[in-house]
Amino acid sequence: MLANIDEEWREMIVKYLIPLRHYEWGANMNACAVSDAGYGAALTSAMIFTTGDRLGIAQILSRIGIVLSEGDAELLGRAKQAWMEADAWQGVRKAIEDSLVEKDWFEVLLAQFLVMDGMVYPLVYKHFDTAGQKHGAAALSILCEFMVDWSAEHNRWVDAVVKTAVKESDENRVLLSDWYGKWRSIMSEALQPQAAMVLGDGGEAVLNEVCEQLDARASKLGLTL
Amino acid sequence: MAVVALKPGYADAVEIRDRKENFHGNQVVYLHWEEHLSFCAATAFPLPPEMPLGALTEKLIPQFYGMHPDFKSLDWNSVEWKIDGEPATPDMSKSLAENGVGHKSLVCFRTPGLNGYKGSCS
Amino acid sequence: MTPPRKKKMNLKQRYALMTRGLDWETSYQKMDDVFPYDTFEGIKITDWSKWEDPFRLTMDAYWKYQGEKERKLYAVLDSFAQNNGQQGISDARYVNAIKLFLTGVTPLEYQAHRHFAHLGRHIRGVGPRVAAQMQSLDELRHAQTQIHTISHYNKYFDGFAEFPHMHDRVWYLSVPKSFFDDACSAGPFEFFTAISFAFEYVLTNLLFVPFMSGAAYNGDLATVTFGFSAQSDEARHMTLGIEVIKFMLEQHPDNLPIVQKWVDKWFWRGHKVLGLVAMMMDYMLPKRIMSWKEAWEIYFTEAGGALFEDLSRYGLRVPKYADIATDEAEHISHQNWAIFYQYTQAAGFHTWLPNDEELDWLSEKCPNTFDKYYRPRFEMWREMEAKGERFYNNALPQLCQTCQIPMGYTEPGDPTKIGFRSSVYKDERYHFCSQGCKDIFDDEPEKFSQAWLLVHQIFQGNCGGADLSDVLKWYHMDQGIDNMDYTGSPDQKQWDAWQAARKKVAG
Ligand SMILES: [Fe+2]
Ligand SMILES: [Fe+2]
Ligand SMILES: [Zn+2]
Repeated sequence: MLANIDEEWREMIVKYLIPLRHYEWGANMNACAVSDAGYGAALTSAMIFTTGDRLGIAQILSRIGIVLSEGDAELLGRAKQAWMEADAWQGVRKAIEDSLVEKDWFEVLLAQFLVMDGMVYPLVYKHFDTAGQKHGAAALSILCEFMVDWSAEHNRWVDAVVKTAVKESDENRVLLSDWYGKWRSIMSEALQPQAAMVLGDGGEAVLNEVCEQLDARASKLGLTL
Repeated sequence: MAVVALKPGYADAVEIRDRKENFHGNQVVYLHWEEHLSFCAATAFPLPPEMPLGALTEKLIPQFYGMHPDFKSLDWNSVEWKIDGEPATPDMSKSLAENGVGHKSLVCFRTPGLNGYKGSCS
Repeated sequence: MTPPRKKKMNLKQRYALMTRGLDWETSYQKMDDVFPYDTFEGIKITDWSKWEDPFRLTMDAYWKYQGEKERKLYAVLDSFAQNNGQQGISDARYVNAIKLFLTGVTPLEYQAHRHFAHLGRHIRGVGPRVAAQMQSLDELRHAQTQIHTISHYNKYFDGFAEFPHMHDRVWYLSVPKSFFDDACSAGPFEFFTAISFAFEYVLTNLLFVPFMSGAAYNGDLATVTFGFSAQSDEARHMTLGIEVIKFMLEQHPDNLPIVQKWVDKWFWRGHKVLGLVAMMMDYMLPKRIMSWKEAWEIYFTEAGGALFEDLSRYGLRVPKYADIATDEAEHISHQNWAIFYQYTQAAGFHTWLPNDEELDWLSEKCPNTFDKYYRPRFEMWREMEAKGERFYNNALPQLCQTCQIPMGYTEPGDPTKIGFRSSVYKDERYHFCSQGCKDIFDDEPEKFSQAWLLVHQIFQGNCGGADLSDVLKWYHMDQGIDNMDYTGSPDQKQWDAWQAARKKVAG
């Protein structure tokens, strides 16, 4: 099924997509952290389901890596090395690791599910995916369909949570806006090498577009930018 | 042994929940009629430490144990007392405190010859 | 030239890639900061990679399988509701067992969900971490399906509506609640030992078999179905429990005394909590399955015996006081039902005295104890009832500082004496129902001196007032509706009306 993808793009997939299984694993831990430390079943119950979903997505990505690797673990190994060592990934990995030690569970929720996912998902599953179409990667889009559908649904939940918290009080709005600004700037920087690696010169513009769209979403939720 | 805690200083920060000061001038006293286990457990009362011990036999015990068929035959003169496990001869006119009944003390009384419904200790 | 054919991975390797392969050693943050909770208890894990996954379940398989199970469950529930299944049970007294389950057990499922989420985030080893995440999901689903199932009974019977509120306040519900609070406020390895091993591996059959076979015997198809649906999850939970114990013991010899201490503690705590199930089994099922004593023999003495035999190669021995617990199997249900009978005014379900046939059954099942110690108690109360002098205990009971049960348990070997135990810690006296509960306190007095004991809370003025009516209001319990004897209850009236209507149709 993935045989139609040209050689050069296969390499690209190993560089940009397969390492995301570790990003998903980080998201899994963050969802679980919110389920653990959060208050109120409306949040904590949803977050344990998200925990399972993010493990599921990490496993989908792992399977894609195994298929591309014709059944062995070689490409997963290379992708992991990229996650650990490649310059392009260090900003994202650092952001994830920083979020793992963050003690405020609501900040974790906002950082992971609004900001990080709000940039990574459109960038990867929309823009990078579009770029792959020229290289015979149509089948890959099908394999990633779940992630697209899942995030559309999950974003509605995230937006509802953040909107409710912002509305609750002015203090909340200020604090949440602060957190948003902090993580937005961390992530927009962290993803620059990704965008350049996959999209070349066009990368910057696309990343800007992704950030603008996230900002627009954040404003709608009542956050001050 | 002591608790193994994550937080340094945990043991020193412990707030004992049932210390005497939390009972608005009362202390908790437990009462138990031995060999009458139809009363499933000792009973608990918040009582002023200065209350005369005689109030137990005059008021509390009749009120809360009086429905037992043995109660009408109870002879206070033959009752054997224990305070916190030690045999005692309480002075009914003196206070709980003076009789050595402290916060969360257990006062047991045994009624020789009366040992529950048909002698079953119930 | 064709490249050499690649070697296919086996299932174990594939599953490892799908789980531990995702993990990495953090470098921007210290691993000890990412996992701050898994070392302080003193359990030494030298090599997490030695963990053998006891089951291999990927998330897609998990969702698919659980989805199918739940669809089946809801189909059964729909037909139960459509066919008025609530009228087909053995007798309305049975529903009180379900009240005890919903108020006492279902909130524990939820607590288990919350705390397995904690372990699912904070255990450094990926294998047990993923297993804990799945268990957290399972336990949430269990809570949800139980609430869903039992909500049907709530339409027809009293005592269900305020179950989460009651769980936090009612005297006997503080027994299971404090049990779980104790586990959740311990470190992750103690929690595993308490819940996954002691409760789910060693004692689980003594909780689920009585309730689920009780449901089957008494025509409660709805409860049977959620029991079945949970069963496959429980198999996973049990293997997790045993694997964690073995893993701790294999990893470092220093772990043995710590694990042994926890096994002793949680066996004893579990035994006391299960006393509620014992009472349910021996007194609350109109159609009985087996006695508590028989269940204890099968599921603890025999099964547990074999288990600890097996674990002896790790140096682990049978839990302390297992012999005393076994002796108590012939007492605990009677002593507990006696507690509820005399405090029926503060119970969220109905009570009754066993009838002649039931008394005979109890004599037969507990030949060493029942006729001598407990039958006279019930007969005395029956006489008093006949005279219109139903026996109520109108004073509040002394509670055990550890298990929080009224101190109604007797001295080992002498069922005519209450087994009082006490300790002094920081000039303050504490009381216990048993040596087992005293030992647990003495090991961690800092923790248990903070216990929330309802009776003392009432005296401190924290429970809505000093009178029974105040406390009932604070419980959200309706006087004369949720509490008191079955005879004369609205539940009984409703049931009798259904029976009368049936006779009419049949006649
Ligand atoms: Fe469960
Ligand atoms: Fe379970
Ligand atoms: Zn106890």
